[in-house]
Amino acid sequence: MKITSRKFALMALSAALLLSGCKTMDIQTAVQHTGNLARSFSQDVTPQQEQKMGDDSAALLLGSAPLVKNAALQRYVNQVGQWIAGQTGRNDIEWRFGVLETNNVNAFAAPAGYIFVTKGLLQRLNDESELAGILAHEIGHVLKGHYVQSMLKKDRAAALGGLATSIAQSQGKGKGEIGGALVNVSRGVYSSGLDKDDEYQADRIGVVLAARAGYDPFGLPRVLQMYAVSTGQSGFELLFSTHPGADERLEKLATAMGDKFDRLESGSLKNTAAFSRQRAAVGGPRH
Amino acid sequence: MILSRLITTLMVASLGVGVAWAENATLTRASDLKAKPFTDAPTVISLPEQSKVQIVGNEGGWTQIRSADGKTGWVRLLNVRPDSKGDSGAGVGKGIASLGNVVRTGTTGSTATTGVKGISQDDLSRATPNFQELKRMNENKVSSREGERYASSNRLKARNVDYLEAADGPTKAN
Repeated sequence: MKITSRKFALMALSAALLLSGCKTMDIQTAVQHTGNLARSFSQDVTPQQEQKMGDDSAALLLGSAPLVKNAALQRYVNQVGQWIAGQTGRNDIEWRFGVLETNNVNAFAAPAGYIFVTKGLLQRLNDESELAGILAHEIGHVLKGHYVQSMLKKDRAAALGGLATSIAQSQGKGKGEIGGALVNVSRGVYSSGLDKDDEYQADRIGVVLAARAGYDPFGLPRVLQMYAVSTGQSGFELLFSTHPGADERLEKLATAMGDKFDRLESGSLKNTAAFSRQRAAVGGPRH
Repeated sequence: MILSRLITTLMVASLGVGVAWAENATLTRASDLKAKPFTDAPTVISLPEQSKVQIVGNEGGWTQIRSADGKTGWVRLLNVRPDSKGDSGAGVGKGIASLGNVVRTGTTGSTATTGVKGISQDDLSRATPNFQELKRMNENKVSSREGERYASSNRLKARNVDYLEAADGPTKAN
């Protein structure tokens, strides 16, 4: 695929040079040019591009629902999240966590290390190992570049070229506008969700990272079981329309996990006083 | 009326979670019903695959269930699948969703969440990026050292656990 794109780009460039009769560009420049062109056709993005994708996506989610105004709560999820993220060995990623002020039940990741959990989901959790499983699942999405790939798939040019519009927006230009090309790509991705296989993979990573961090590895499966019995409840609409069914997710996890994690249960932490305190602070779920 | 509301409120409060258990479920694998949520606990009865059960609650990797013949005990959580309620969840109508809530809580007073800002497809389609809030989120970031301090003060110890392969094919191996 990469080779084909590169060849195609070379051919296209050669054709363009011939047609334009361009003589100022020597062959060395042409090759460099084509190299860049070919790279942008590949699956990879530069760290700067991923950062921009993450910033715009995170800002969009925060534009939909702001952070819960509770500094202690936000610090708490950052502490728990940072500890779990430490188990990935990816210290080059800047991991940032936030609780969103909405009764909708969901969790999100964005490129470059942004992780979100909604207040509505937090209100339905029983202990810290469940929160750990959710954060670890989202960390898995970032690790595997799921949102980056999904955005590239949706609109490669917009996903990679949104830099100019985004800077204009962050500087307050274009205020009142609903967003640039990159923002609209992420709007589409968060509305339609990731591939099913991405979700199954993030579930597997989530269980492993939570276990590595010392938590009860069954926190995430318990959350999935809660999802499974919450079918039809309001607040779950986007979660259910963008994810495979909780039953299928449980089945995939059951097959992948086997009985490998049963022995880890005894030495695992289920809950902390900090979780119970923060859980109480956000109040009960709305029915 | 007031009394029934009070009872409802107490019931909801005592649940403490968003899930009303006593859900119908099916065992996806043959399972030993254990007297306690431990592998070496006595087996009450062996239940075959596809047994219809009711979920009573969860504890770690275990689900407490009631069997069709009224026996209560614990089976592995991953062997239990809650029965779907007629819809897989995708595209559930608002009417059905709110009806579910009415049935669940017995009150209509606090079901309405429409109008509340949130993250639905509609909210996303209208949202404008909020870079001020993004700045705040970035300021909330803690160091990895602070994460480690949190872990040690809660007696969380890192363990070696291998990543899992997808069991059903090489589509997305880790």
